[in-house]
This record gives sequence, structure tokens and C-alpha cells, in this order.
Amino acid sequence: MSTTLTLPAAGQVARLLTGIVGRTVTAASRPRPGVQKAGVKFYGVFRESVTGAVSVCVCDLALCASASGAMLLFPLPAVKEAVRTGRIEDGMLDAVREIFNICARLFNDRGHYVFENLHASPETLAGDAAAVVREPSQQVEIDVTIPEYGGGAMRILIGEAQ
Amino acid sequence: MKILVVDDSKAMRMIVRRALRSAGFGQECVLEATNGVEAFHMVESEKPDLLLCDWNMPEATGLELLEKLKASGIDVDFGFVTSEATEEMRARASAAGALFLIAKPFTPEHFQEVLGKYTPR
Repeated sequence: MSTTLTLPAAGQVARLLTGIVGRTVTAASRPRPGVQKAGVKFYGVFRESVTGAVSVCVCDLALCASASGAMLLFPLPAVKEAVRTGRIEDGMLDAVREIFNICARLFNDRGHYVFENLHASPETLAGDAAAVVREPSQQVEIDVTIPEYGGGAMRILIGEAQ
Repeated sequence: MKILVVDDSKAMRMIVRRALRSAGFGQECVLEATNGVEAFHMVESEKPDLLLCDWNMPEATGLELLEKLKASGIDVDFGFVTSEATEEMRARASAAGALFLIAKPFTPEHFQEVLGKYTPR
């Protein structure tokens, strides 16, 4: 049997991130997916605990740096430096992992999705997660704005249930 | 009052500390542990009044920690602060003796509301 997930809405993403970073985040879906800019991205893999179905959330460096920086109340120059150099320091990376962990709730309207792991490259993804990135059954791209810290893009990729 | 925050994420321990301060618990002594094993030893040595514990952690999960505390006859107020908060998990937490389960993301107001019931102020 195959079931499909409802894609998380931009408003849902905004509410969740607002709760995480403690400031009013706004988010808007892009009309056409597949246009996320090149550059460093982080891949969060989520697995449904019963069916094993996989979904992936891809966030660009700008979003990861600004969200983790806002969550930790880092000074803005440190966030800008991370975006400029393409490198996130360990404390911010720990916060990024926690943000992805909490983002599992975006998928839980149709099952019990658990954050499995975080990847800094699609090349290290397991086969089923890599397949979802290559050919998602559904996807949405969302531009996220975090007051003072900037923001970035999030891409949510849904795989078929197994 | 002593509060022990147990979470393998340094970032989340910091966020919980911040929420405690904002919720009016800034005067309390807040200790930290990074997993269930470390937390068990700290409960024995530091004798905290309240544990705020993540569910999924390496070494020993929050639920395993709670069960071990109960089995050892250690009676300490215990609540979960976790990103997963299914009804099944809430039921398991309650059955094991947890007083509450706070889902992430949380607000200082949420901490105030929940912790206010269990802590002398």
C-alpha cells in the first residue's frame, strides 16, 4: 500500500522555527521548486518509525547559520562569517542538529517521523535518502526570513511510503 | 532548589537554561549532564530536586534513566523536555513516573506554567 504525505506548509515551518529561535520567523513557498541556489547545504534525514519511509529536509548554509545563530543568540558578525566562509563552527552545528531534530514535527501529521541523521553532502546519504533527493514524490521550497539574522532556503522532499 | 538539565546537545542545555531564567527560575542552581549515565551519578552526588531530561540520548535514554532511578529507590521530581511527544511517549513517561513532558520547541511561558506546579517558588 502506498500513501502520500501532505507537504508541510510555509506557515507551519514559520511557526515551528519561531518556537525554536524565539523570534517571529516568516516563510513563503516558492511557486516552482528546483531552483535552490548552489552552495553548501545540510541534509536532514527523517524516517517513519513503522513504515521506514524517508523524507529529507535540505537547508542552505545561510538558513542553518542564521537559525542556529538566532537560537544561540550569537552575534550577527559570527553568523555572517560562517556564511562567507562556508563553515559552521561546532557550537552552531550542534544547534543545527537540534533544529533538524525538532523539525521532525513537520512530518508527523501522517506518522511518527524521527530525525535520523544530518549530512553536509548528498554524497554521504544512504541509498533510500539519496533516492528521495534525486526523485522526491513531492517537494516544496520555502524561503525563510529570521529577523536580524537573515534567513535562507529550505527544501522539503517527501519519499513514497514503503 | 537544584535543577539538573540532562541533554546530549550543548545548544539545547543552553536553551533550557535560558528558558528557566526567563521563566523566573534564574535564582535556582542549574546543573548539567550530557547523558543518562552521567545524570545518574550526578543525582547520587548532587541530589537535585528536579530533573529536566531529554528522551533520546547516547549511553542511556531519559526513560532508562528514570527507570533506573526508580529501581534504585531514588525519588526525585522528573520531567521530560523532548522533541518527540507522541501520545504513546507521554503514556510511557507517565507510567514510568515522570511528572510532565514538555515538547520542543517550548517557550519560557510553557516552562513557567508546567514547572510552577512542581517547584517551590
